[in-house]
Amino acid sequence: MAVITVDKLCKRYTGGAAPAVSDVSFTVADREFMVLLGPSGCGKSTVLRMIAGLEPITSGTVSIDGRIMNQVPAKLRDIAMVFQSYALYPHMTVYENLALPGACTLRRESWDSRSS
Amino acid sequence: MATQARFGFEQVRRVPLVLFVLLYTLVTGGPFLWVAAMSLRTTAEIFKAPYGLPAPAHWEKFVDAWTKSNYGTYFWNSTFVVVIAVALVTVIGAMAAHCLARYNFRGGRLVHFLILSGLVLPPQLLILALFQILLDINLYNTLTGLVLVYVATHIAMTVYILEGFFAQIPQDLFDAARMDGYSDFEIFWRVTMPIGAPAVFTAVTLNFIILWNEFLFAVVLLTDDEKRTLPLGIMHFTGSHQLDVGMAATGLMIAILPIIVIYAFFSETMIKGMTAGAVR
Repeated sequence: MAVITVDKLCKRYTGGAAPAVSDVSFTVADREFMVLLGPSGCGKSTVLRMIAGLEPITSGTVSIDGRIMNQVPAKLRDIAMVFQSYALYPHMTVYENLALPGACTLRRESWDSRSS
Repeated sequence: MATQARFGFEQVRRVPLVLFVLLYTLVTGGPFLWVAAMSLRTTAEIFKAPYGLPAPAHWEKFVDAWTKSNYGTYFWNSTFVVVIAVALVTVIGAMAAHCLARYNFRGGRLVHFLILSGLVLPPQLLILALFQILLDINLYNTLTGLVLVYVATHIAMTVYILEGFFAQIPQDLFDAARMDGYSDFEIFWRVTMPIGAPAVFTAVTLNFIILWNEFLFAVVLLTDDEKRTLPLGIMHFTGSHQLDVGMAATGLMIAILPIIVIYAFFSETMIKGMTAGAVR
């Protein structure tokens, strides 16, 4: 587990009048169970998506264990996320669905060791 | 008693529908059966009795067509051109559709508009320009040139079919794939393509049928007898210098058979692909 620190996080979509997320700061301690609550459209998912690396950050920082993650691609952040619509791959078996992230990590590591 | 009366009414109500379907089958199936009958009769027999039955059946006409009348060459030319063109148009079109459906990028709307504007251009408009361009790049009167033309002219429809379907795949799946560690190309190849398979099948089948029957570009861009595709080969037998209706009919049957086979295999997936948008 790890500590997640969100500092003055802002998100402004291109063409959007108001910022979707402005100035959000919080820390999630190791083994802490945290809940974000709010009306729909208030930016909960946007914050989560920025922490996961699915959405570029306009300003502010997201750090995991003290390391700033703003420029780290989603697949290297070692984060798991459950989506609203499950997002299971319908063409894969249960095993393949579960094994996919691990398989991708293994492949990446074998690539890294080969290239270095 | 009441249910019986309603049952009777239902039966009566279905009469016009059944009549319509029967009539429609007659109109579409009639000419087909006629050609099938003619393909087994000699031209002399056909001129004597145009609507006669194929008795005796001249099966050897198919052998003649394949060997003596060059239909074998035409068939392989058509197969070569259509298979390669369909493969290219599907892969390129699917990639374009995936990008247009999934990514927001500068000029995306413009690219989208430009590709889909190909749908409204009548093919006759392109003939002169295509002829000149193919001459300039030494691809006039080659099968390769025809393949390129087919790919270019059918990209629009392919992108149109695929993009609509791809856009309906939930975004969450793509986000999940990104977090799981798929690269952009893998997302296309391992998420979009398998999930979009019904739409891809639809595009493949439609393109195959349309290109297999394509006549206009082929007749303008090919001149050698050796390079003719099937539609041109068939036309050859009803040209100004000869009128071999029997042989043309045999050629038509040879041309039609692969389409029937493809349709028999893929019609179900195809209809699924075409209606999936409404169901979801």
